[in-house]
Amino acid sequence: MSKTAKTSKVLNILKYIINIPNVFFVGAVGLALYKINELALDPAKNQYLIKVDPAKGVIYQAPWAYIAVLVFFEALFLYRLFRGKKKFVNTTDLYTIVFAVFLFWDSGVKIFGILPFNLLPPPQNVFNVFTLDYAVMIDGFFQSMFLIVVSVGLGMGLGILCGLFIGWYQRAKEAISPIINLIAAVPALVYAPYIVAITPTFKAASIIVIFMGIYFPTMMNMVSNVQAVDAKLIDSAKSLNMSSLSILVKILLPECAIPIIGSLRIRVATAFLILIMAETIGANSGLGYYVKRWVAWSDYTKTFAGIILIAVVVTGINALIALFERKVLKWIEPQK
Amino acid sequence: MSGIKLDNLSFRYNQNGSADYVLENINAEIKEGEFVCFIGPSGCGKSTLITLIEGLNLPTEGKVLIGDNAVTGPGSDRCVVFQHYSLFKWMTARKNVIFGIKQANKKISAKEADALALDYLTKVGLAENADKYPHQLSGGMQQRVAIARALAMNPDILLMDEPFGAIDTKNRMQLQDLLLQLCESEEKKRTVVFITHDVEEALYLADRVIYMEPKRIKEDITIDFGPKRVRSEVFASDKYHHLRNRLVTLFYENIDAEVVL
Repeated sequence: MSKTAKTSKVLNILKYIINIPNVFFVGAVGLALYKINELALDPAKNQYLIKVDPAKGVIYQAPWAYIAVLVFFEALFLYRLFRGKKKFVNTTDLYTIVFAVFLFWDSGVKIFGILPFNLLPPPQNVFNVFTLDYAVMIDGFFQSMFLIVVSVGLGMGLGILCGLFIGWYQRAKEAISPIINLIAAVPALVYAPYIVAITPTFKAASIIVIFMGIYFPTMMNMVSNVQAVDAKLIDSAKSLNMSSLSILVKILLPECAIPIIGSLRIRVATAFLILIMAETIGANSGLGYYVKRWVAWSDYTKTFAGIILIAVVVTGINALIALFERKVLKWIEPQK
Repeated sequence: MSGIKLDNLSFRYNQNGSADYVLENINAEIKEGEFVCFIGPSGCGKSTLITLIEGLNLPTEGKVLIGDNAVTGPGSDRCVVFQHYSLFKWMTARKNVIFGIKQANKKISAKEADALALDYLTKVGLAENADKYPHQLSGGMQQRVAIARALAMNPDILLMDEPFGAIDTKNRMQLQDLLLQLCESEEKKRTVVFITHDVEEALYLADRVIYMEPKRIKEDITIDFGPKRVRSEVFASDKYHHLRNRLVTLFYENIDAEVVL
């Protein structure tokens, strides 16, 4: 091996060890361990706290959850760097931003004191909430997911069916669509408080509200999808001796499946929007309720944690839907 | 009996309104087993004629007779191959063909349908691509699948609406030869109605070429290059050149008339 090749190999290894995300990661972990030597068990709450200045309300909680998050991102970064398909530069760019955000957030609280401590809690306090409140959060997650799955399922299922029939039968379309347009013009958020007020249980209320918010746009989309189907395709189906009903189910439904599944992501996002809005009105559990409750108590540490939880849940669901799309629509043309 | 008789056929879209006639007083007879090409400029009504024979549209006046029965809707004795949108893109080539077979013959077992589908896909040279989705196949291959499906449905009458219109020259030639070969190799002699705007295609494929000008039939030319024609021989013959000139002249007349207008 020549000398230059050896040096370039060494440089390459250095490039993978000393890069900005790694430097930021070390910095963030270092900052998380700030005053760790003062960590002590708080006998009242049975949790580890660092009481820096109890008079000003500056209490640092145990940083382990936060450090775990940082290590998780670092592991993801290294995995992407060595095993991923993206370019070195693109991966480092992304994780530079990730670690920089944590670093600025933490230093903004601990070193620069940009906002009062209780308005901007440090990340270690926020992530520590997950270790304290996980039972409530898991319960809230399942409560919210139940409502989302039921109401999105009903709304999209019925919306697709009705849209299919209304789009296919011109007479039905002309009779019904002006009425639908009128009802759909009112955002679900507007009548959500009313429906919460008139329905006996919160579950029923939120299912109704989300259903309304999902059903109308799905149906209207489906009507226009059906009408946009090329007449030649229908002629082709008719020439195979298909009845109207089987054309509807076997031809138009799959033909319109791409936009339907494409809209699933938007619908779920809408459903979350409506649900969290509804939960802030009348719920006593759920993800949105968790945030709303702690905002009301001015506990912004828990508020932050709740917001992060919602972000993670929605992103996770979007990733699942994307996976579902790829599995189901194998026949879809590759996106260019 | 699967001869087609067009009996004083007239058609306009929007039957109650005052829309112009697309076809007026068409009279023609296509014998059983005959390969007839309709040729003419765009908008002359040739595609509409196919939809009338298939029964996708019903004539305003007159009738289409298959044998002795008037057409009242699509039937299993006829099958259309269109230029686009013939295949269902959510089914593989094989499933597309099976779907057609099952529509034509509801009693057939899944196993038989599968074997028949593969048989026809082999005939059109696509046995290896049977499990691909339409978007994974080229335009020419997609039309091969469409032809395989149409033939597998075993119709008496095959209707083709510019099936090779969007395909490059080399593939189109291969498909034309394939179509002739398939029509001749089958035990059953099918009646084929083929629509094209390509003079060479019409002359090479057809037993008879019918030239249409807007709304009506202008010329009915019988062609006979024999059952086992060879492209190079056909294209070199004087008869071919004579017929080609005659048809091209018909197209020219049309252009001149438009320029004067």
